[in-house]
Amino acid sequence: MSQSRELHPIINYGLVPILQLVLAFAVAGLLIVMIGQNPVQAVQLYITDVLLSPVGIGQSIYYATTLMFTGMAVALAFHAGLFNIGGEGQGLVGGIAMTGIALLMMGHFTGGVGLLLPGFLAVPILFVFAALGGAAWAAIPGYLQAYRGSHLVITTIMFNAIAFSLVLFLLTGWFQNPETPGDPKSPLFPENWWLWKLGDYYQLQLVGLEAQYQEFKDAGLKVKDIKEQHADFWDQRALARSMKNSAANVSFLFALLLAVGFWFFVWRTKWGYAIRAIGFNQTAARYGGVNVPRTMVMTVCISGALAGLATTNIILGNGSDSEHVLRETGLVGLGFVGIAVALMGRNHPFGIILAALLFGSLFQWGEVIQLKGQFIRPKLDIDKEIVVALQGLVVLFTGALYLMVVWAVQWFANRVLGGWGFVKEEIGEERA
Amino acid sequence: MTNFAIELNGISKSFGPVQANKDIDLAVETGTIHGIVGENGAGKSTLMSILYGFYVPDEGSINVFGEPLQFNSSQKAIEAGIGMVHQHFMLGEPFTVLENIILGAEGGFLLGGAMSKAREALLELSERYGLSVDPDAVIGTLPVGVQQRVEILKALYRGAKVLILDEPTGVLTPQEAEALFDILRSLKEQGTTILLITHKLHEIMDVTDRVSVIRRGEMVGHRETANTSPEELAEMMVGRKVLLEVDKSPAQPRDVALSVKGLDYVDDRGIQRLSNVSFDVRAGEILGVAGVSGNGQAYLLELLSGMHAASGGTVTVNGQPLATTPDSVRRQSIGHVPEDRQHMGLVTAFPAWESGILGFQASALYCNRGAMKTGTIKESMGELMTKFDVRPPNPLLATAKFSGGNQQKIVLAREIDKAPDVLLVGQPTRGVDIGAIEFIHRQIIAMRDAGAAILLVSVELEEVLSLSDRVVAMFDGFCSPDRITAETDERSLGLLMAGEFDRITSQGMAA
Repeated sequence: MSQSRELHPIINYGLVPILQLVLAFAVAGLLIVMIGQNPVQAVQLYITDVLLSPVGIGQSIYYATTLMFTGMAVALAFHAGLFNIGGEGQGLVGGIAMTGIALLMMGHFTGGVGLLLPGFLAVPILFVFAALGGAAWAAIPGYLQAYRGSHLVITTIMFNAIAFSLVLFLLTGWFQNPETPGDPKSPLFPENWWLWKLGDYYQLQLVGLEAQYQEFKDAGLKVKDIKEQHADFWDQRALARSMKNSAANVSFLFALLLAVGFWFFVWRTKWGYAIRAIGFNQTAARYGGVNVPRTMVMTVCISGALAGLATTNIILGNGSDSEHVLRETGLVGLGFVGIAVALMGRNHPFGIILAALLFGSLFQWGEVIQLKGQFIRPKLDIDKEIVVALQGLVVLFTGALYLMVVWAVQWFANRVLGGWGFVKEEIGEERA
Repeated sequence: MTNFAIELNGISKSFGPVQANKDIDLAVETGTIHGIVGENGAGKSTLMSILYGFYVPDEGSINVFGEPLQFNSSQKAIEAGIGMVHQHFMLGEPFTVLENIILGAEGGFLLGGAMSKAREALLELSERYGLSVDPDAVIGTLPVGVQQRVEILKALYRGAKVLILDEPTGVLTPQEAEALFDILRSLKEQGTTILLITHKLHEIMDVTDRVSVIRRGEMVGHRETANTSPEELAEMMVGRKVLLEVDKSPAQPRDVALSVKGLDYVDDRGIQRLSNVSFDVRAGEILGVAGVSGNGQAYLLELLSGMHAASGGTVTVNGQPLATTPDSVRRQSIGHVPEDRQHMGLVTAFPAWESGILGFQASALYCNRGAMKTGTIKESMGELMTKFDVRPPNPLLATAKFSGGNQQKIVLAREIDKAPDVLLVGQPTRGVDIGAIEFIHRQIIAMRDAGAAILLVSVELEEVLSLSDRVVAMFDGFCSPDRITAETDERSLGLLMAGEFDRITSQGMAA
């Protein structure tokens, strides 16, 4: 018997995720209460210092950029019914490949003899190598899954571990920055390869503003006078000073473009068709002329390439001038969080963008709690790891307990609203 | 007080906004065979699931032997004396008959006592109802007909006085089906009440005392079997007059389009699935392949469509050797309507327009340098669906939302529209409603008349006999010599289906 239990898309894609988030936040609030802190204060910080603060928004976007790459990486594999949890490792190897070609161009291996290309040439090359590195690292587990039946989850976890060892090996050897022997990191990438970031704009603006400030000072104005007489100027300068390190950078725009490309690739090309066919029904895909193992390897490789690209945001787009280096921390766990982003974004690029922004803001929230919690009164003594707990809860409610919320909403729509909220079903007639 | 074994009063059940059963009344007299017929999706299975305690009805009550039945508990249904023989047997294949019989009724930590008790009871039951079965035989080694007998014994062992059989003959040869009906008649004589759910009208006419017809969740009527006819029942099921005979002119066969010689197939586990299968199909004719499901027909279709590589033998298509992948086979102008549309022929999660191009997604018709021509596809799919009477003709609707018959029409539309030289058709009307069967049969005949070579595999004997021009039967991976359909009958074809022909392996030795 055909039956319609499908909720209206607005409820299914709008209301349900919101309810899931509310539940996750409620439980996280309970956790905060249990450790004797005030959840209201924590939420206040989230609103004032993340959602309503330019710095908070900028940093959230920076984290979200990485998450968009890693989220799309997980989602693409998901469409083929594959679970690629090797984002961390693929990101690391993407970073290794990118750093390798960068060091080659910088003459690191050849005693300073290199070819320092200008940024507009070097950056695309670095992006390509990051993608290739990630793809190559994903190719082996992909092959093993498609042709040998080794489970991708197992192999990608193992490949994460191998990548961690590999990067440490390189950072204490060939890739080691000779100036910092005790610190395993690569030499600094040249400044003209860094990505344009939001902070650059404010830094530029700040030059003029500081000159103006000096003029005011020279004219004999006291700080108090400037504040009073040139309030607009003062605010502008304050903003520019706080934003000069904002890490939100052009790779966010690149990630947005990629999200559009993701949509087109998955839903509007024959390759995406084949990927989705495999994900839904391998037998039908094979019947439909799809080379299932080859398509699987291709999918996992593209997924790895996306994870590899995430590293560009971390190395080339970093907010801190001294951190445009390869470190063993790689994607700093954002490869794993990509799983949550894909889950919550329902493997659709639009959902992934929203989920990435949410998780990015949560990351920033963790930073704010850690840094600022000590200075507000009463003191908010919560470790930033609370964000990890919150992420876990979001995954729990949007992933594992996804159906619980759906059932609750369905029950409510059915019993209380009398069937309102369901899709008015067109069911194929039983007779011809 | 009454002599009704089962009384359903005003049973209603809906899933979301879909009404599966609407105010159904049914009274089954003790010691009779009562048939329930209805198209697929009419609500027969829902009704039986309610009776067996799988679903709770929204409204209504059930009495079993005059006692009200508590819902939502199969245990209560069993205690009340209801036994169910499912369409797909619920037997543990590596277990013996005896072990299967006591499964779920072991009655303690140690098996020994229950086993010896069950052995006695089993022998007694076998004797009483004439159901001979070796208690120590392993299920997996038994023929399907015997496995079904074990299912029946299992229900009787649990004290069933009412036996529900859900499409019991789907997996049987005509001879096995006849044997089953003998068993049912003898059960009836011993006082067992039987509910027979089927869509095969001749079975109803053969074996039942009364029959009830369900259409779209509603009880349309009850008849004494002696006072009704297949035509009347078909009309009640569909709601209009139905043509049960297939209308076709004699075939005009031309050159051989598909030639199969000595085809062997050994699967991954080393089991011989096909042995020396040979036949020719000419352009403009339909070759029927009869046989009980599981005798190699599925492998034959998969080999011919490039899903698997043969282990031996040759296949030629219009004189060329058969290609080796589904994609290249399709480009040799071979269409394939697979046996299992849900698991092979369609991606049910796709909207109809995407399922409607499965296999052709990379062809220039629908794809330009990798990018799908979405607009063109949706438009042409809408037209195609209208032409093939798919209801509703909405290409945006998810494939899973169409009824079985309409899904099948989507597959047929896709394959027939490309006008292939050779069309492989597996179970074209499995799970399809009577009304749609008529339409599908007409399309296949039209395809033949247009000059296609058609290989028709079906477990429905009537279908093979009425559609095909020549017919072969498959048994245990072997293929019988062909017969002219017009000169053969159900009985002799049944013998072929049971393996009564000379089996010659490709090595030339009689097996």
